[in-house]
Formats: sequence, C-alpha cells, structure tokens
Amino acid sequence: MSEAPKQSYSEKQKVHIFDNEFLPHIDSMYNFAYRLTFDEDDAKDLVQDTYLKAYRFIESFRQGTNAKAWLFRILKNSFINDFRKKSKQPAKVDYQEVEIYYNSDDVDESITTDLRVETVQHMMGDEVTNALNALAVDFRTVIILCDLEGFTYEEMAKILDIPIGTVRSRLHRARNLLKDKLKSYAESRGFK
Amino acid sequence: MKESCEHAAECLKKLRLILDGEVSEDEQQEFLKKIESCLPCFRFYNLELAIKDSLVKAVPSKKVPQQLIDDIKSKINEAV
Repeated sequence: MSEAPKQSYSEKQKVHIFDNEFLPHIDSMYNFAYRLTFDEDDAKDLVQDTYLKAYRFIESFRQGTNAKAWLFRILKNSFINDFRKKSKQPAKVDYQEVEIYYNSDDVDESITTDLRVETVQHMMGDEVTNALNALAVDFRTVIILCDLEGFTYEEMAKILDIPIGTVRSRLHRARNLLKDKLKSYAESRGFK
Repeated sequence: MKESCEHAAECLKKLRLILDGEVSEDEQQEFLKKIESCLPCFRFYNLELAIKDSLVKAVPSKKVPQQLIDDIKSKINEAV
C-alpha cells in the first residue's frame, strides 16, 4: 500500500480514529487471524499485535480512508514477518502444490467439470471449511479476502503487496484447488 | 444450447471476474446473455456461484472476546 504522507493527530484525534475507524473491524480481523493460524490464542496475539502497531503508526493512516484494508495489511505482514518466525511453525504450505500451481501456465486448463451444484449445496459446513483450510496459506488467504471479506482485487493487491494480475491468477488457481478438494470430499462421501 | 465450449478455460476466468464484481455492467450483461446458450458455461457459472455461497454460509465467524478489546485498550492507555 503506498504510504500516505504522514499525518499529524492530537491524542484525542488518535483515540477517536482508533475507536471509530479501527475497532469496528476487530471481528473481521480476529476471524482473519484465526483462519491463518487455526488457533484462538495465536489469533488473539496477532490481533493485539496488529492493533498496537496500528496505534503506534497511526500517523501513516489518513483519516477517512480504507481502515479495514490498512489493518488487514498490517495483520498479514505481522503474520508473515513475526508470527510464523516466532512460533517456529512450519509454514503450512504444501510446496509441491504451490510449485505446480505457481510454475505452470497450463494448469488452468485442467478444469473440474464433474462437481454438481446440488452436491456443493448439500455439503456440510465442516467439509467446506476443511477444504478451505487444507489450501496452502497463500491460496487460502486470497479466497478469505475475496469471498469472506468482500475485498476488491485492487484492495487485495494493496493488502498483499502484489500486482493486481497476480491477485487474479492466484485467486483463479486457489479456486481450482478448492474445487478439486471439494470434489474429493464429495467422492469420499459417495456423491457423484 | 451448445453442449461444449471451445473457450471453456477463458470463460471460467471471465465468469469468476463477474462473480467477484470485477467487470463493467455492460460486460457482465453481455457475458450472461452468452452463457444462456452455452451449457458448460451455464453449469460453471452456477457451480462457481454455489461454491462462493457455500463458503460464506459454511465458514464460521467468531466474535472477538471482549477481554481482548479491553486488553488492547488498556495497553494503549498505558503507552499514551
């Protein structure tokens, strides 16, 4: 996200921005953090860390602009730069999956055609959630941002620091992978 | 109605852009009119829509614990 010129706020203004522009997004932030970490305590730490950073760097935020995207960007950076290192968790990435999908242009041509609308509609919530959670974090993130949080591609590009074309292709690949996983779940339950 | 689509891969990309609200109203109308006569694209469209809907309905949303909000506010007050 291009840095806005530094603002100058009084303490009262800072508190006002924090309470009225930042805090209303805390549920979305918590859900995003939980969907990245799969752990309530880790999600709480990540959200707290994000909000403290947001307050510390509040003068980089221009009042009345897109606070939600700004906060999501901080959270995503904290997750990548601090959290994953601190927790020493192996990044939940299926490298083979990533490699195949990042490096091949042909993969988009393989399209799952035999998943039925009715099958998807009859799937249990857990199966859909598991399919999403089984995706590598980069793919999971774009689906969360787009389908669950309703960000535009332009906002996602800013949050993730990637070109808009990469958002488009990553999302397309993520959805192909998700569809494959849903198809596997459907097959394992005996759906056609 | 066409039983096969020679541009299926491209159409899939396009209809995802439409479902994400990333194309103009005119482009959207034009494409939606086209898929009415193309069975594979019509199916893709409905399947993509169903997956998008199922994600919103199925993936649970949690409410942040009030204690976390209180802790954040208290840490900020300490810092001010």
